Amino acid sequence: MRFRAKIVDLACLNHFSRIVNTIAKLAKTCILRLTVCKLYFILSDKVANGGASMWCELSQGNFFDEFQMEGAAAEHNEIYLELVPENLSRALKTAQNAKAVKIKLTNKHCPCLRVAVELPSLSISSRIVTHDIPVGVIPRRMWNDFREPSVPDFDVSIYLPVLKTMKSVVERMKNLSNFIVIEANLNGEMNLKIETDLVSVTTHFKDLGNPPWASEDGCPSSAQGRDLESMTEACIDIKKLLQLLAGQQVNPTKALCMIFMMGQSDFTDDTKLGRMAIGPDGHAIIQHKLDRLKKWADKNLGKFRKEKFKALYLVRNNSIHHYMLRLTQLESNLSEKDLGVLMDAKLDMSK
Amino acid sequence: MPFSAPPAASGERYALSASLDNARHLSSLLRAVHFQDHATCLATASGLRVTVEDAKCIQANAFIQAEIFQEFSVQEESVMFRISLSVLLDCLTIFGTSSLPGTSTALRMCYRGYGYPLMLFLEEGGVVTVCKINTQEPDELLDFDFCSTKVVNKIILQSEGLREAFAELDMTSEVLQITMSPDKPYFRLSTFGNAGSAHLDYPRDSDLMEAFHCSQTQTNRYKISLLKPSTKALALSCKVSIRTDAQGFLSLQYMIRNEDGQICFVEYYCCPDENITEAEL
Repeated sequence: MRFRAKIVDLACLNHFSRIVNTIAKLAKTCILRLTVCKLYFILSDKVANGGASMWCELSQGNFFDEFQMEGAAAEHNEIYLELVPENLSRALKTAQNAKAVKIKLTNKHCPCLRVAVELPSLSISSRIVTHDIPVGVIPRRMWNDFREPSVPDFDVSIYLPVLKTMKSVVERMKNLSNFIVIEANLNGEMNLKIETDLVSVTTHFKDLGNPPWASEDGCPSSAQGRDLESMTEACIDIKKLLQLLAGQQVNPTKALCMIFMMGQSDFTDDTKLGRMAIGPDGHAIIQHKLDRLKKWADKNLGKFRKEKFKALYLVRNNSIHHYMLRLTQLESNLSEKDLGVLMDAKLDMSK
Repeated sequence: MPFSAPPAASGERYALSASLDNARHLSSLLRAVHFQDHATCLATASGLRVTVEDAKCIQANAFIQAEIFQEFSVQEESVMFRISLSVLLDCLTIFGTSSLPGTSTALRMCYRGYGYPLMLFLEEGGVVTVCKINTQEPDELLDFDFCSTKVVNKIILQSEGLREAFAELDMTSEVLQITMSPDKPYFRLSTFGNAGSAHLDYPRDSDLMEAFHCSQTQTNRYKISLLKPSTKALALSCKVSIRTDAQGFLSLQYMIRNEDGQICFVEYYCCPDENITEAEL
């Protein structure tokens, strides 16, 4: 099992650091999955209800000048490591003006990710700062726990408002209630609501815009013919939402929110077989739905030429009916499991 | 732009309805009296008064005159209710507390009457927030019976002179002792903490002293924990008037100029901890 990689370009390094910083704010520990072409940061939430999970996919070619990995066996050419992203974030903090950063998997006394930062110095020889970040190697039998999530049909997708405003509002709402309801419709309207015995607060965002979806897959067919004004809602833990909003350091050009309703059919139009087949753990989701999503992403987000990665952050609600909210932000790629936060990076770089 | 009043059901008028272009004019003043969770609001034709009390010894009032509002109408002679000040402040500052220049949150406040919640409509940058806060039966408020005829000693100071003193009060002292006298030391603040006693004297001819009317030497002690919250009001104000009456009750009145240059008042009343009115230096 080998892994070595090197980043030389300062802009790539800064961008990578910002992504890692964002991940560090979202998860205490996570899985780093390495394949030949990509890196993934995965937080797989084992909690059945009310938890959050995250999946971040980065194309290595967009960040690293050198990237070589070799899994334990040829037919399973992947490495899964468990690590504390805060450690990686701290190591990268020292690399703000680095000439180069090398990352290598080592096993001196215990498995570690060695981050060697080459800093500029006045003398001929450079200064090297080395960080050894302990990692746990995940055995192959457990890899299934971290596979790519399949994405159900969403009921509504909408662009998020200015994140700063949303964050201020959610921060205040956190003082008033533990849960927040996010509802959105296909008319570009989104509401954030909290309600307790003492107070109820609703913030209305208008003219947000709904992203157009590929129609050939029938993906939005549940949306066609639906009343544009009717709202789809999700009730989620406010702290998790604030964690996402407060922690993000990559400034998205656009952020998308998608709400999935599972196990419930309050729509009068045909319930799709796929949706009925959805079980609480999502295993029954048909794989082609995920492919459809990928096709959509490639088609609609492809226009962001320099798209480097995607991110998805999922928050489940606490009730039996799994409401899921998916936020999409352009810039960081978090797993699209529940709260779909899809971020697409837009970098202006020659790479 | 202020909101137009949402019509009340069945054509009733609201008991209290007010509009404010910049919600900060209200929220910053309310923060200056926010040392307890609950407050009693009294609305009359002259404006809004928000009262907070603690330990039956201290009372703070924030006054926002009707003129500060773009629209202010009270149907009955007065409207009074108790409300959670923490929740009210969270709602008023829903779009955040840091203010970008040129942006402000517009506010509309409506109250149908006894038993109804207080409705707030806030707007900033096209985003609208609607809040509904439940109200409660108003408490009976303390009456310090502090009128100008009973005032024994009175000083008006520029706030900048007192700000540092109040911010650095020795909190290990249980009391803050205030001495006011026609003779030296004129105006003295004293604390008696773990490290020792500290005295801060202000001479009557100091530049900071705007008015000095002391007829009698009075030394009074007040629980420092009760007075410490007044530092918030002091920080916002440009001038403060300090008055005591024959029983040693203290009245602190803060003149606060808001962002638009309008004047508002906050006052704190406090009972003395021990009463030492005889000449004692």
